[in-house]
Amino acid sequence: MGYYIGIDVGGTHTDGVAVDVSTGRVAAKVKVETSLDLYACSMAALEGILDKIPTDEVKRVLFSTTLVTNAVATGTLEPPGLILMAGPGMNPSFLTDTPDCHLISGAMDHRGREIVPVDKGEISRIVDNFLLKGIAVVAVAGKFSGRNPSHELAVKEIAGDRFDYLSLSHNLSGALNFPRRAITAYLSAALWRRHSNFISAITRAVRGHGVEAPLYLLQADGGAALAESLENGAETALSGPAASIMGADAMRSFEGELLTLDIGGTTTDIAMLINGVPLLEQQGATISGYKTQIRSLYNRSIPVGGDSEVSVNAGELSVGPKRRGKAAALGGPAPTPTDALIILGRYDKGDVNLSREAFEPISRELSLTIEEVSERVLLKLAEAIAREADNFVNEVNSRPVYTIRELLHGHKVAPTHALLVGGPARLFVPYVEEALGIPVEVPRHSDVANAIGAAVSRVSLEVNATADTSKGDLSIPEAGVYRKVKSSYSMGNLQKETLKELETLARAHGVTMKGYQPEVVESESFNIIEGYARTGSFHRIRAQVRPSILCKIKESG
Amino acid sequence: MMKFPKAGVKTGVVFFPAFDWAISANHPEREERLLYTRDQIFEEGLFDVEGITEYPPSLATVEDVERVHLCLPSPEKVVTSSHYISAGGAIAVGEAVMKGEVERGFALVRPPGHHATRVVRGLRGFCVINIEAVMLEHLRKQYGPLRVAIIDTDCHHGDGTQEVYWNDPNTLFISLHQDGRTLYPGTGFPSEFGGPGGYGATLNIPMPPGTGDKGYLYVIDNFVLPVLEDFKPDLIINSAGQDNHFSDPLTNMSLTAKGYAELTRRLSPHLAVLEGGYSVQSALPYVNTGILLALAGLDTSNVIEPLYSPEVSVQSKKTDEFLKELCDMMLYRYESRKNLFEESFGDKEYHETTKNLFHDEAGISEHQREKTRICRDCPGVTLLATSAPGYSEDYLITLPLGGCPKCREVAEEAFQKASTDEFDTILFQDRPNDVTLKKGGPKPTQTRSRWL
Repeated sequence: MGYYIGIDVGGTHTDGVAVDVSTGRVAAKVKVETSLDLYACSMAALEGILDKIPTDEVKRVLFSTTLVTNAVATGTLEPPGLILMAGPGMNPSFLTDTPDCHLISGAMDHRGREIVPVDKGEISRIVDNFLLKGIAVVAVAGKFSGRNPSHELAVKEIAGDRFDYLSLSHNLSGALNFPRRAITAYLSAALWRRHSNFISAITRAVRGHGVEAPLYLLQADGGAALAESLENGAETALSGPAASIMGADAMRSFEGELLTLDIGGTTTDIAMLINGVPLLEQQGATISGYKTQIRSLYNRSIPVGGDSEVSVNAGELSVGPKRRGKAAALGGPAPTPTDALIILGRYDKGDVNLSREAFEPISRELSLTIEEVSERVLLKLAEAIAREADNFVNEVNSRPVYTIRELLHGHKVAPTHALLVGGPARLFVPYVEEALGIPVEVPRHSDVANAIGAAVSRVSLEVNATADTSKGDLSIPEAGVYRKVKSSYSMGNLQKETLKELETLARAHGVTMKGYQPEVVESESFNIIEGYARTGSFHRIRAQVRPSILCKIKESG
Repeated sequence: MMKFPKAGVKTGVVFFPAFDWAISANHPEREERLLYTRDQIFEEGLFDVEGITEYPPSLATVEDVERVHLCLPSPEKVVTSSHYISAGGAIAVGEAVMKGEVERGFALVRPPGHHATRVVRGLRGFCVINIEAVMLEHLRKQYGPLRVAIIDTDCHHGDGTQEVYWNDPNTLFISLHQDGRTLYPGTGFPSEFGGPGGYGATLNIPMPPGTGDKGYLYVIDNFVLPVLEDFKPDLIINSAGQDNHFSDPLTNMSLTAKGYAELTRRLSPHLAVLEGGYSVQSALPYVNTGILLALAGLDTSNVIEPLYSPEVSVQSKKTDEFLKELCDMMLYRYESRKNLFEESFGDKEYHETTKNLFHDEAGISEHQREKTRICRDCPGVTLLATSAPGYSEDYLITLPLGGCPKCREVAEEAFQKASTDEFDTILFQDRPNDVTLKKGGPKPTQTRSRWL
């Protein structure tokens, strides 16, 4: 029947798997060390997989990599021109500290009514100035542009096709939060060239190997996106944790609340599946300090992992936050939790004498045997994970709600099981189980959980629709829908139209209609009363195709 | 690098718009009152500002409510979930401030509470329970004696809060409002100056219709701040009604969003609690943004409502002069409060009053007879008999915090003597022991709190 290929570029290893579509079995897996050239190692992993399966049976290839968004952390962004229409409110100066930012006239209110018109002459002068300076990518964001995009569209009309890329914020998200939307537009413009070059390169390479199947990228919410239609490269941030949770979902069917822990070399990621659905951030991903509006799974990362440096500070044993290299047993410079496992005979790897040597000074300083120190190190690691898991659950449970119904009857999460994935995950189980106090499982193939998640992740989408029948306006920014509606337009009409637009969008994004499950996640309806009379209704819907998987992974095989 | 600003002052916010609650369909206190405010503060990204923390509301308890109120016929019958959440929202920010997690708090909650008096028989001026008082007494129970100033800047006189703290020397209540001769509830005159235990700790500034930014800031600078300087409160609470805005449909004042922000900055309250404000589209989104930014110590110069023009806030010369005279007179009265006390109460043992109260939306008229012991050792015990023809006759005994042995004796004896033949419900608020004792009243139906 064919294969789904998933390639995940992790910090230490790049993994690839091929999942057999008809059986749900992992037909091939490879692991290569991640080098500085992320493109080269993803290709190496792909080639490793293609060696093991017939290329003409590949149904799709998905890459999970932060190759593009790493540019945010390293500061190698292409400087975009930025045009903002902030209107009244918070002082927008915090958004204007980039070199080519212009705050221009033009303001909308909360219902998308124009307060101040744009000045076309001003826009023309700025556009000309950008071109003169050689600026090739531009981002435009206005407060409440999702309610009325006409000011952003005015900039587009004046700019024409004179820039390589023009990012209009209302196309990126229909949710409220102007600064995040502006930041997201800025990043999408700043990453555009790198992102489109990357897509061209992988497309060429994959086609070069004779694979004609569609190409996907993994997004921060765990959903897949068709590479050719994903414009915003920033959406590929946090793909590691996203791949990991989708892998957990694929390998374990669980009704209820499942904590997922991905213990890596440097960090441990904590996330949650509720009835197989990943829990998402309310606002959006934070990418190297930039608060964006990119849909992202709810993930907390702590700097504790198998290769964390173990040290003693003021008589206290500490694990992390630094990773100085591999485990001492493998020639690394410092003792690590992995060495502790080796010393205790739980893990057969490298040279145990090197591990003991590395722990020797700590053992002397604390007047404990090397074995005792090793036990304590593993307990410390597990306790740090459990503490963060507590914070994670508390944070989820203190999320604000805005109706009496939700406050009184809202559900409080309380995960009953944990799933551990990551390299040597299995070896940490007894310690983590003890610290968490709930059963901890390790699925088969946990060593390539991320690549599995990448292989089977489905396309996800979100749309935000607002109808203001008093003004007679309907907007669904993500679908590019802005039209007039009659005063009788009801919540039912909005729901029908939103789901129809979502489906159109889904088809354009390569969603397979088999198993297509759109859902309304939020809806609200209010009367609009002006003076003392009802003049219309305000209906709002958030609908999504949630992140989910194409198939489950079979335990055996 | 496009980083959200950092608040100069750490500020906690409970935002609870109660999107599923209204008094009635077209009532000003209806579902979407804070909808446009939600849209504005979310679109501003205010909760992403470093140092502004959103807290979930907690739920006030029946105990919290009965520390302040006698609810008739019972808390279960008149207090709904929305009120427990709204008061709980105020409690949550209050606790965050008391614990030192934040320096200031803003309870952006509804329904409001400042027209709710001690005896609750139903809705009064859109209010059922007094959310500031329920919060404050909860904090006093939790954190011990507190000297507190409540500055009520709602356009309507805060008659409920005034009544609750009428006899409390440790709670300074100052209300700035539109003159009661021109607006509901028709009270709040300079002569209302406190009961014998709290004489001079109730101060009213009735302002002429049309008062603008200049007038409000004048009263803050020339009356409120000097009194606060003298009173030295541990905690300043602002009952932050937003109906002084020039676009408010129910009132006649001329304050702007920027005026609100400046007022908040000068007052620097530890806690702001939303009260009224019914210009839900043209004022509230901007006023709330301004208040929150001002509390957090951030720039408010860009908070300009679309309807703003310099003329909207211009007040007459007559108003300037009136407010100057009023502030001078009230400051003089405040400074002379000890002499005035002797003139008013002298050597009497009890101060007795009667009054009629109308619970407007509940449509219940009530007659109250009240007796307060004039005590040199404590604020004095209060005995309140209330009758609402056709409803019930009830009795409230309040022994205040710090109540002396003699007043305790009076209170206990009164509770013992009070008979359920005479009264339907008898409630004894023993504040020093933080218990309420009850006789009579309807039998509780199943559990006391149906939401638990």
